[in-house]
Formats: sequence, structure tokens, C-alpha cells
Amino acid sequence: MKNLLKYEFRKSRSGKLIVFLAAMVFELCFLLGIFLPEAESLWVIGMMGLVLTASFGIFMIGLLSVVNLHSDLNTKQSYMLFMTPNSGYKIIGAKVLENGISLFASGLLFGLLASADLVLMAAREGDLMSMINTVLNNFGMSLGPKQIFWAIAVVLLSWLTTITMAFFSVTLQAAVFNGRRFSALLGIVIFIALNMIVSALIHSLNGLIPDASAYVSSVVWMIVFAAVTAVLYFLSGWITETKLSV
Amino acid sequence: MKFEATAPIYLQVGDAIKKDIVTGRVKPGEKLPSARELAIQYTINPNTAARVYRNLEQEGICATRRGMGTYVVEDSKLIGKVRMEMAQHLVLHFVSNMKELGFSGEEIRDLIKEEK
Amino acid sequence: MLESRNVSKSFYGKTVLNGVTFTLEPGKIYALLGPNGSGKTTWMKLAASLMKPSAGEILYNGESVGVQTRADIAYMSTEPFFYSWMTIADVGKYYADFFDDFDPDRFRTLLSKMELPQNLKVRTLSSGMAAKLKIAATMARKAKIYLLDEPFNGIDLIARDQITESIITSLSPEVTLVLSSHLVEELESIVDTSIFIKDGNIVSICDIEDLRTTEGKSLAEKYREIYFANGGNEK
Repeated sequence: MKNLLKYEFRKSRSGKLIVFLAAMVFELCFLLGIFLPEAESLWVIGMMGLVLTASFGIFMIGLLSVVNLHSDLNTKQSYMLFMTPNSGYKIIGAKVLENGISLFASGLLFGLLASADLVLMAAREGDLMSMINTVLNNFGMSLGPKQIFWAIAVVLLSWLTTITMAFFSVTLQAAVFNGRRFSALLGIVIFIALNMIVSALIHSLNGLIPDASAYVSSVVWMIVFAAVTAVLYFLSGWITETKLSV
Repeated sequence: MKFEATAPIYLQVGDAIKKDIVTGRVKPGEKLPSARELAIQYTINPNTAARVYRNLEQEGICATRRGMGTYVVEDSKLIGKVRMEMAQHLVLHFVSNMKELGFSGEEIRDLIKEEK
Repeated sequence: MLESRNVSKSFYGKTVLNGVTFTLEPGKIYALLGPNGSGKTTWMKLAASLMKPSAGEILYNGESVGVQTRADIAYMSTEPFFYSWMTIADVGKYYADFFDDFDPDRFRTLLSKMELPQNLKVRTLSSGMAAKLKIAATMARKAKIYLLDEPFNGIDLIARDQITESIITSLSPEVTLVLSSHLVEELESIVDTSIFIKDGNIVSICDIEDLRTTEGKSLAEKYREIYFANGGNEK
């Protein structure tokens, strides 16, 4: 497993490097904007850049991971994985694990940057921040590091669920429609259909969850997403192990 | 070595070794390459190489000493014996080919006398 | 020992292998011969457990081939398959990571014999160099079963000699090698037994030296006899 994981990280290295560098560039912009009075507008660019990098970058990394799986199952590249004495469960498991770890690391990175930046903002633009907080307090919310971390955690875990759903779609497509024309298209269709079904299921749970504190409901959502991820992983692993030919 | 693919390879390699013995490239009592080395040397299957030695052993040309390898038999008369056998084979082959072309025994002998 | 028991395989309704049954003994080099599309590659991929048979089974030392048997069975496909971002050295590291039987020294020796520098990237290799890398990585494993699909394809003469030597030295009483090749003449002196397959069926299995002794035929002549539609040339 350790070796599978090592190569999964290696495969996604360049995309992550780009996201990391972009984040550093925008963070630099933000800091310059905060500390240099002549470069005021820079902190807005920095903040927007960070938000863009975080959302777009994480999306792209996830997408690349799915495209990678598609190649690993549908092209001759598949021999690399399947000539080794590793089961389908391990192979898919390494991919899900790699995504999970990367998302966790991304969450940590952007969460830390966001928290630090907010603190700096509060110091610099104290009035603006207290105004925002007052507005949020009216809605029973607040904007602080703790809230940011929980929000990011839930979003990232739901994204992991989405990625695992895409993995399942790709394994299904590879097992059933391997080599047929439009196989990639079929994979996307399966994904969209699956996404609608699972989203509907999850939203039906919305009513069941008591409107406790944001803290508790975050934890509950995370458990839901973790469970769905686990189910999708097992199904993907099972298909890869028993139904797939390369 | 170029093989005639329609004839058993183990016999062809065996003949090559016999020729080496007759010409003196390999001396009686000398150690022969191991079966694996023989296989690499002649680019043949290792099982075929083993069969070469089994066959030569049957013909009394070499002997395998346990744990030590295969050696040409220490027999001073061996060279002469093998040389005669090979000569007889060549002559038989030559004569039958010539007879196929319609030459008589006398004509064959005359042609040989001309040849030097 | 590798046993193919009544193995059949169909793709989308087309039968590629039809009840293929034979046993491969250790310590021998086998040729798996037949025209394109006769089922050779499919059988090898089934033995390598890259796909599952539609019917029948392939047994390695009594157990059905699967995830575990991949540790003892080395398969080399006809097409290149290494990750394009890898260097030749990376390929060696990958094999070392996943195969206990991989010998890095042997890999380096084969690379230098075939003149492949370790720092080249896979995506820059010519087709000939890619083919050499494939066989070098496969033969550097000290596997129990080698399944080589067209090991000489696209490779120059000198490198072919290196590969042949590597095949010969890999054979031992516990090892089995199966070669499929269109260059039948190249196999003449290195193969013990030939398995002839046609349209997914086993047509014949011959010990080649016996063929020469009893019928005076070469492997190439036997091949022509089996596959040439009008019965082959009379010599």
C-alpha cells in the first residue's frame, strides 16, 4: 500500500505544485497589500486570488485524479498497476487515500492562510471586520478561525465524496464499457446520474438532522460524507477486483 | 554456429565438439564447458545442451564427474577413433550424393585423385 | 507448473479462446505460435491474471491465478506501457518497489548491454528503445514463469542476441518461459516445445528436437505445414 500511495502522489505532483505556487504568489500579494500602504488594492487581489486558487485549484487536482484513474483503467498504462500483486481494493484505496490526504493538506494550508489573513485583516481594517461580524452575528454566525476550519473541513470531505463518486463511475465504465466508443462520455453520464441520486439522498437527510449548533451539524455532515465515500470506495474496489479486465 | 534447423541440434553441436577433439582444439582429459555455458556459447536451449553431453557420454567421448563437470575421456586412441567415424560418415554422405548424380565408383575415385 | 484447464474467453460475443487445455512443465522453454488474432496474447493475459476467463481456469502450482500469483509470473505485453513521466531508472525503481524478485543489478547489466542510458525519459524513447526497456525490466525479474509476448519485436539484431542470451540464462529447473513470436526461425534453437494455436484452439503440441529426429522437420516447416492453407511446400 505504501508503494501504491507513493506513486499516486508522484502522479499528481505537478498539478499540486502549480496550485501551491499560485497560493504563495497570491498570499504574497495579500501581505504586501496589508503592510504597504501604497499597495492597498493588492490585498484585495491577493484575497480573491487565494479564494480562486483554493476553489479552482482543488477542483482541478480532483479532476486530474479522475482523468488519471481513467487512463489507469482504460489504456495500456493499466499494466503498470495490474501486473503487480495488488488487489483492486488496494489500488483504488491508494487513490482515495491519496486524495483524502491531499485534500486534508490543502485544507490545512488554505485554512491556516485564511485564518492568519483574517487576523491581519482585523488588525488592519478593524472597522470593516467588526462590521462584518455584527452582520453575521445577527444571523447567529460568526467569522473566526474555528468556523473557517469547520466549513473548509465539511466542504473538502464532500468534495472527496464527489471524487470517489467519479472513481466509481470510471470503474463502472471501464468494467462494462471498456474499449467501446464514447466510453469516457458514458463515464460522465454515469457520474451525473449518480450525483443526482446521491445528492437527493443526502438532501433528504437534511430534514432529519436537528438544527443544533453549526458545530454539531458539521460533524454529522462529515460522518454522512465519510460513510458515502466509504460505500463508493468499496463498490469501486469490488468492481475493479472482480469485474475488470485490462 | 549456424544450424540446420531440420536436423537435431544436439547432434550438430555434438559433431562440432567431436571436430574440436579431432583437430586438437580440445584435448583428451580436458574440461568441457558446463551445460549452461555450452547453451550460451552455441545459443541453444539448456536442455538441448544437456542432451549433447548425455549423447557424447553414450558414445564414450566424454564423462561427467559429479560436482566437477564434464571432461573429454582420457583416451589417446579416442582422437583416432572419432576421426575415423567422422571420416566414414563424410565419405558415405559424399559417395551417396555422387551416386545420385550418376557417377560410378571408378569415376568417383578418379575425381578424388585429381583433387589433391 | 502452469495448467490451462478448458479455458475459454469471449469478447462481445466473439470467441477468442475455445476450451484451451495444456500443461506447462517447469524447466522448459515453450513457443506459443499462431497467426495474429489466434488467441496467444489473450491466453497470456489470462495467465497473468490481467483478465478472467469466460470459462475454465488457469492454475499455477494448483491454485487459480490471481493477485498473489502475479508475484511469481512476469508478463511482457507487445505494447509499451510505462508511465511517460518516468525515466529508465524510475522504471527500475518501480519494479524494485513492487516485485521482490526484481534484481536491480541484472537490470543495469541488461540496460548497458543494450546501450540504454538510465537517465532517458520514457516519452523520448524510440519504439526500438522502448521495446528493449520492456524486455530488460521483465527479464531482470527472477520470476518462476515468464510470459513474453513478441519479445523480439522491433529490436535490432545485436540486442536480440542479448535477449536470447538472457532467456537462456533465465531457465532453471523451477522456471518456465513461454515465448510468442512471429520470428519463428529465431526460436528454432532455443525452444523445447511448441504449442500451435489456431482460431482459439490448440492444434498441436510438439517437442522440437523430436520433430527433427522423427520427421526431419524444422519448427518453421511445421508452422507452415499447420497454417499454410494449401498444405505447405514440399521440400
